Amino acid sequence: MTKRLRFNLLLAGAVCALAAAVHATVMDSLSGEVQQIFNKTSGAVVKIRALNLDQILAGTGFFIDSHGTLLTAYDVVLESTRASIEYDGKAVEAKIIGRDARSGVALLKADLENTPFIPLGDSDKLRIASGLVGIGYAYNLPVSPSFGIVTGFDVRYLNSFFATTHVRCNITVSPGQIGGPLLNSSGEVVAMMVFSVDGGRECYGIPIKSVSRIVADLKQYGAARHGWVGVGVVDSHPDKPYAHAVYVSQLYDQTPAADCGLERGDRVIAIGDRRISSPQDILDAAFFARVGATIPVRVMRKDQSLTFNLKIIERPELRLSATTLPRQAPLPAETGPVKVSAPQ
Amino acid sequence: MNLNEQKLQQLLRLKKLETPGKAYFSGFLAEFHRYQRAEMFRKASHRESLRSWLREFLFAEPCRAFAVCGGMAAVVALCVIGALSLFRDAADGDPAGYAKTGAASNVRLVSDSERDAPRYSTGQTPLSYDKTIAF
Repeated sequence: MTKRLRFNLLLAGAVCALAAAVHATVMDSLSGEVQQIFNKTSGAVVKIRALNLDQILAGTGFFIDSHGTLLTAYDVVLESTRASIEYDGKAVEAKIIGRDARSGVALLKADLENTPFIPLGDSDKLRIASGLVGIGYAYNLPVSPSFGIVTGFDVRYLNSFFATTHVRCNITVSPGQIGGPLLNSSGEVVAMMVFSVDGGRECYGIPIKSVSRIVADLKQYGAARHGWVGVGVVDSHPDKPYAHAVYVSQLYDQTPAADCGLERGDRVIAIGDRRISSPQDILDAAFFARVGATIPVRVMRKDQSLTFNLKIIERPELRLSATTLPRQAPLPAETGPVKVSAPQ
Repeated sequence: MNLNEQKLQQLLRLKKLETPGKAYFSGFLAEFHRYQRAEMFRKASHRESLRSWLREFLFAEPCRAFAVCGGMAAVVALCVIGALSLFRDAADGDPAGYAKTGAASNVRLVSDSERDAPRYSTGQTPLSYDKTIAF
């Protein structure tokens, strides 16, 4: 009996010791991994200062190649004409190659060679609860890491839509850290911090795949060229309020959609190869559509499947605000082409 | 006097219950008022003495010139400080803190402590976000 008691006590002690050891290992492992990513990449993250009218803007940016090409958020440079970075203890002028207010991306180039850089990762692999490491300069403090997880993928924040799906994560963002990279466990950049919410308690990052699409345009044209066919959509129908579907609600005048045969009330099934079941799909399909290309748009009208080939033109400089367009235009009971003028 | 422990304790108990008479309290109040008055007079005399000392110092014949010179010096110092601050504001015309270093395109970044703090980006300027879905 005594032998058995002693054995049980020993066993309980061993289990407790093992649990404590495992706990310490998980914590240490997490900390070590963040530290490793930070040490590997923080050299490529720089402080950015830009001059916008008579205001100094401050934020974070990071090198994406060894020739001094930098990415940052539009909010860091706004419409500045001059910017400088702090690199290797010195301030170096950086040319603003281009910026895109719609996606929130800005591309800069410093006259430097052999700069450390962060390789681009695959943002499509991000899932809910994927771990992310953020790096940035809060205020005028030294570069610092932060750790969080992906908490969602959104196209809408309150009453506004992003240009494409954004990654929401629970990384706290202090003023100055916007424009910093969000890194995966391999130390690759998978998103860029562009938007902080709830007073910096959470942030939105634009996936690096979307950033790359904008960067390609900025490099080639000096500005982003967003695709446009002139179709307004809503995600609800008066007859089917709970259906997960997207319906044509507007056809803008003098656009490829105006005379192609699309009608209000058509249910959008697919754009190109992408199946459409939510506004998120529409925005992503439109975001990655190339100006000049022709894209097939498949819709359902009653029980009939129809495909329309639309030529993508450059999105006009318009702000589709609630004041210029009805938010949820009521869909007609009967179907017939209704055209509205594009707001100027 | 032979006091044993028991008696001593009785006396102490009686002493505890003892209260001073009316004369004690009225005496205390009178003494307190006298002290207050004395304090007031003492402060007044300090003020008066300081005032008279200053009057003597400033308006005595050898010191008057010093007083006038001191006043003028203060006015000149204020003017100089004002002019310097105006000059510094003008030099800050380039608020990003750029200062060209010769022909090189590199720029010097003035530290934040040397000038007003910049606007640290919070990414809360949703300039680009649409209100409706259109493509």
